[in-house]
Amino acid sequence: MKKWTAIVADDEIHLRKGIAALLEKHWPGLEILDTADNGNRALELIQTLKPDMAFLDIQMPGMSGMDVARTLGGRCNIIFITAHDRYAVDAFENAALDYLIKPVSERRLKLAIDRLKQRLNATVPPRPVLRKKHLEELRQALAPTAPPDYLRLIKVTMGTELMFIPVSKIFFFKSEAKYTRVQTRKTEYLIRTPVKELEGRLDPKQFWRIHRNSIINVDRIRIIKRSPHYQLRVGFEELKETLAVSRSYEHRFKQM
Amino acid sequence: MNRHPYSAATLGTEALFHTIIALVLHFMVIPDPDFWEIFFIAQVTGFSIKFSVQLGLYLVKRHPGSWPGAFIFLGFILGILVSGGINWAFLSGRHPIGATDFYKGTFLYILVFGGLFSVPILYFFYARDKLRRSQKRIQEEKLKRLTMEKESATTTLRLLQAQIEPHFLFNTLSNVLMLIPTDPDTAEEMLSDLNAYLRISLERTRQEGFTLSQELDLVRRYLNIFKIRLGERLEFDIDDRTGKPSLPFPPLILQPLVENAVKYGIEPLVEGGKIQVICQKTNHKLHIRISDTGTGTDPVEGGAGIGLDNVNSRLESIYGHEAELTLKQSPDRGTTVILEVPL
Repeated sequence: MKKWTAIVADDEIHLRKGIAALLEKHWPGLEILDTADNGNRALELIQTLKPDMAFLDIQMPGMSGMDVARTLGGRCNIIFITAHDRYAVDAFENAALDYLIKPVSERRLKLAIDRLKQRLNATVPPRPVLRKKHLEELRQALAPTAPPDYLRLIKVTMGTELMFIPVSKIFFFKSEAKYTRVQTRKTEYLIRTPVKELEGRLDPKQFWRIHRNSIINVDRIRIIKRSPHYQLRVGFEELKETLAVSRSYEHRFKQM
Repeated sequence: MNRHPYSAATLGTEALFHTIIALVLHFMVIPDPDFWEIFFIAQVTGFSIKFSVQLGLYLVKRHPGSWPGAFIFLGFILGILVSGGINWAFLSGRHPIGATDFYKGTFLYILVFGGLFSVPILYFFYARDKLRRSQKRIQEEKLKRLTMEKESATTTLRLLQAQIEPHFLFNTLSNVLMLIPTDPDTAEEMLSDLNAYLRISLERTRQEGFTLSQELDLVRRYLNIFKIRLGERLEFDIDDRTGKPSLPFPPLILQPLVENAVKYGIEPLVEGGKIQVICQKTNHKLHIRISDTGTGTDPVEGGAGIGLDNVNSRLESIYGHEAELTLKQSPDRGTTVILEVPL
């Protein structure tokens, strides 16, 4: 009987060793050629040692297990072992043979081994379990309804250091010459990102564009008033400065 | 008090009420011998005022926000005039002395009746309105209480979820399982840390009065677990220089910051790094510094931003503007978070 070969990759040492030990225990015909503690190393091992299969963790330093599978493009049998279930569709799209969720029970591992043996002994390559179309449907069905990733921190350069301002602290953004002024209660910072670009990246429920040159944090509004020129102006907690609302954005305040 | 204003029961009660007033007037106040005349005037005046006031109330409903008193008063005046008209039309013929004198006498009665009728009617509507308003207020308060209860339940749940990240639990248990056959001592150590970590987390969702030492204990357990999981890759140091173990400190401030340091500072690096937590106390402030030596992922692009923004919101809801959270990053020194809260 042919002796099968494998590598194991996991950045956590006990898991790496543990999985290798469990495989050796339940699959005496399998030889673990080596183990890797990160994605790049795993890829290197697969490319040089050419094992029949690779047991990969997904979240690892450097390349992730998914990146490794994608790079290989089906040139090695991949079995993912991860604590996350959200990568499953991606995994099968990258032709993974199995997807084990940590903590892996011995019973589940034995089942995986049995399936792997069947696959590896089959003369005809198996048809994919899920077709691309189905995977796409599955992905859409599983798509998280979570809101898109809006900016939660604003990066400001201070000399050689970077500083990060949580957006909830920010009162408004206002264009000033080449820069955008970021105003908090006590301090103002200058960033290079234009207001127009910020508008698309901030949560529109919290940050409203009120003028060509400004975006405000609605949570920080203290007062909305009409100036003698009949223009709407917005004032903020403890700040003297008020900002003008241009006519085209006034309707948002009328709904408040 | 919620009967329909035109139901037989309501109208009957009112008619009875008018009759009682007519009887009282006939026997005690007015020396006129004809009871039926007074009875007639009483009924006509009572119902005229009632229907006119109803009309007034209807107008109030149609024009919300207007002053209801004005409509009801106008209804009352209209009622008196209508009543005067009807009474005059029916009764003036019976008095040979003529219309002018009839008015002098009867109109006075009508005013008296009007006054007597309007008081209970106005009281009725006043009471009904008050009842409605208080019912509405009760409803609103009930709703408010329910919303608050729901919010507090959600907060507790979120507090719990935020503290015990499922993947942290799965990965840790995975490690314990793997360690049991090879290194049972370490497995036991890890389980004991996990046990303490879970116990502190669960207790915190129920109890009040959190202390800094409790928070630091939780963080220490968390980092201990990671030290076993990551092996050589993690070093950490927790240094409490405040000298006061019972210093009050809210939960879910320090922990997410330390979690970020592990997740975004240390874990992405093959060589790992060091996490340091230093607590210091000056006269009125508590300073906590959490630093990692990782080259650090950009927190704007990574997931760290959400945690930090949440911590900032939490700080503000607890301390108002008196707390400060600063996050700095430099390529050679990793990420540093400086936290300042009032004591």
